[in-house]
Amino acid sequence: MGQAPPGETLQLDFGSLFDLHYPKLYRYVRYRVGSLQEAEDLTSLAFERALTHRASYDPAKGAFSTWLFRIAHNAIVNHRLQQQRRRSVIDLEEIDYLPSAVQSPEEAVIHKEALQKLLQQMSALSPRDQDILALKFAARLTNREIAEVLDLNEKTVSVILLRSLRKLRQLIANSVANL
Amino acid sequence: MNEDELASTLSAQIDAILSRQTAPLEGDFEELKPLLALAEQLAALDLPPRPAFGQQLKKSLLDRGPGGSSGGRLAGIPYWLILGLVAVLSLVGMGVIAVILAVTVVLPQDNLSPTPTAPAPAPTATPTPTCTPVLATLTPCAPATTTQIDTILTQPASATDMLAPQATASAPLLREGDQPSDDTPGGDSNRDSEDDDDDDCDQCDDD
Repeated sequence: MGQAPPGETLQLDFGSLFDLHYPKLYRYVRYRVGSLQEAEDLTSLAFERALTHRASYDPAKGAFSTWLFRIAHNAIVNHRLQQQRRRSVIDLEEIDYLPSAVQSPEEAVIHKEALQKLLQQMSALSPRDQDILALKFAARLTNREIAEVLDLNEKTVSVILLRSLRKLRQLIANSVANL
Repeated sequence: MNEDELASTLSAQIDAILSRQTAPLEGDFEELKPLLALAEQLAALDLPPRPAFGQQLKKSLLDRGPGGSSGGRLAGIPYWLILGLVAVLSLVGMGVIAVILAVTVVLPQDNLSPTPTAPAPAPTATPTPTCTPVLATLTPCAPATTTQIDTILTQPASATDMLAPQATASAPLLREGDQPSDDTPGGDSNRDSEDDDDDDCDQCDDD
């Protein structure tokens, strides 16, 4: 991510910035909201807000991507508040893209089900834990970048990451034990 | 190993997984192995966007102006146009409200304000109530003045003495019920004297 180059505030090449950050931002939102439609809506909202309020972006305060992810994070939080509920299930049909390692249709179905269960367990975590896991594994940000987005200490992020994975592993183990 | 060191090592290993590199895990990190396996699953969990969505979104953002620098839009309408319409509609609305207030509040007050002065000309417009009593008083005045002339003729006095009883004598004379007579000399002059007391008499006669 890094610091923004000087003058980025007034001369944002929004097309280039979009190409650079859109895939990561979408994945982060998609991990957090689960629904394909909601993810697209919130991604659009985040970029529209960034475009509309780009004059307020100050490179001295952080990288553009940090600012953009924070906008997306706030949009997700507001969306959650409006919904007043947490979507706990991701539709199996919405998981369209699979890792290249999966080849056969049978393997694809099994993998889809595994992914669905994994995301279901993730939704049982706290919003902050979900945020950190999504920013880490979906957006693939470094701990320092996550700390900037969520306004946390970098060491705190690594500790939360450790505890979140512990909780998630425990949730998965419990769900398997209940079967 | 404390939690901080464990967390730091885990983060380094996760970064290596995400960058598809391998980092040697040295030391006693047995607890981390299942967590790293889970991290590999999460890293493999890919939910990429629809290609068409990204293209549409980028196009819509860049279509807003050169470099996407123009203002926002609502349902395809620029914000400046919406704000302009809202301003115009607000002015029209304020005008309508002003007209309604003028019709319902201000104008009725204008109609009410001359009301205290309106009754004043109203009686003048209908002279009957005012004039009729005058006539009623004037008509009997004739005999009164006639009698007064008789008094003057019988008791000559100064002009001031004559004027003083004129005013007071008219009323008791009316009570006596004497009928006025055109043949009585000075009858006209009495009427004239009464006319001096009340200028409305000319108007009454005319009426």
